[in-house]
Amino acid sequence: MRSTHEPDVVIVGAGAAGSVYAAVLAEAGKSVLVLETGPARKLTDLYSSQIWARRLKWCPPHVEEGDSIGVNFNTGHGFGGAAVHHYAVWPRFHEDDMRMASKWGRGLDWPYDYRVLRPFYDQVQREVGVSGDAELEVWRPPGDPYPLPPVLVSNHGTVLHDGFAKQGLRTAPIQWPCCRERTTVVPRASGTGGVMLGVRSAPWPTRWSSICLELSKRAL
Amino acid sequence: MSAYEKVSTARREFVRNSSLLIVCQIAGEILHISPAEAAQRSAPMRFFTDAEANALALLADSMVPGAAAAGVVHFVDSQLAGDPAESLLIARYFNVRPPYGDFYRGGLAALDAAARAKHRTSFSALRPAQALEMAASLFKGPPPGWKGPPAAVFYQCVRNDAVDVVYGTPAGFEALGVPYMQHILPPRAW
Repeated sequence: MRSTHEPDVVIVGAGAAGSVYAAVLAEAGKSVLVLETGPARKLTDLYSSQIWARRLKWCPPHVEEGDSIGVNFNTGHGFGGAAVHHYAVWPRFHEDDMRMASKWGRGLDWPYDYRVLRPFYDQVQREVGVSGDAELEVWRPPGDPYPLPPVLVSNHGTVLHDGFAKQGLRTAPIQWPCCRERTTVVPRASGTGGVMLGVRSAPWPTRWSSICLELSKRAL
Repeated sequence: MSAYEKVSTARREFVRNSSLLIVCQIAGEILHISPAEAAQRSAPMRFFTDAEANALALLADSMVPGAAAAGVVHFVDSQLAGDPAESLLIARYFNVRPPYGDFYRGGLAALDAAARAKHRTSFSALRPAQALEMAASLFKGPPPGWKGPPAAVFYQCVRNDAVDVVYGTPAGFEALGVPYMQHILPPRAW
């Protein structure tokens, strides 16, 4: 596609971060050009099949660090990025996670601490909509309460909770990016099912669709 | 036709039309048939040798009874013969480095060598009980002298391939009495 139009913003990568940036900027009236090297996706590619959903997964080249541990495990790729097909569990880093080198002698320290990152965690959970129970998460670092109430705990979650409780350990509902306040059922046929029903946040259905809607309004 | 019969017929149609189809060439004719039919008609392999195919059939069937008849070998073979970016194999999910054929070929060769070291015969010539014992041992760790991909990952991939073919389809869900709850059916209606 050839265009002489000069956009206000160019974003490299149509993934979880780039999609949200693009949507926010477009909704604010900016013209945005998004560059994505992976395959294009359609909403109808999100099949209700755990087997066919594997086509959304990363394909070569591998990205490896250190002891040949691949870092592409279970990530999506292409339009929608890693989050095009994801488990959607979004815990925050702990404060100590950002000081691994100085505290534990492993990995690297972040160039700043959790206090700098916290407002962005709060902003993202407001923007995307994350459910959970901050009070039950006694291990959670400081932050705003979740904007959405926790999803109902499944039967196997209850079994795990009871087992942990017998050992004197605690559990909490997962931190789940979701789009509806009363999410009670997640289809079991596929991880994409929750996305397609609009109960699980993913960049393509929840952010790109808003961009497309905005563009179609302008075309009218 | 009663309402019940309509629902029942629709469900049978759904199940009948929702098996995976693979591409096979039999007697010069290109056919789209199910892995089970490909196995039944002994469709030629596109990637595996006959010896590898026999070993994989025995290994998968020892892990998930019925996998060989369900066409697990033809399913894996058809995936390995195609583009890795289009692959439906669980190996992709488990972070196996493509081409995935190297992974299967290496695992089957190592398994055959282990069988010859322990039983003085090829893996595919083992009795079912011996094959089951060797398959189970893979999960616990590599047999002595194992020179192949990580034994436990190989075990997990082949076992999952077998589960995919036997239970992963809407027909398999139906057999288990689990509602499939589809929203977007995949192409060729897996």
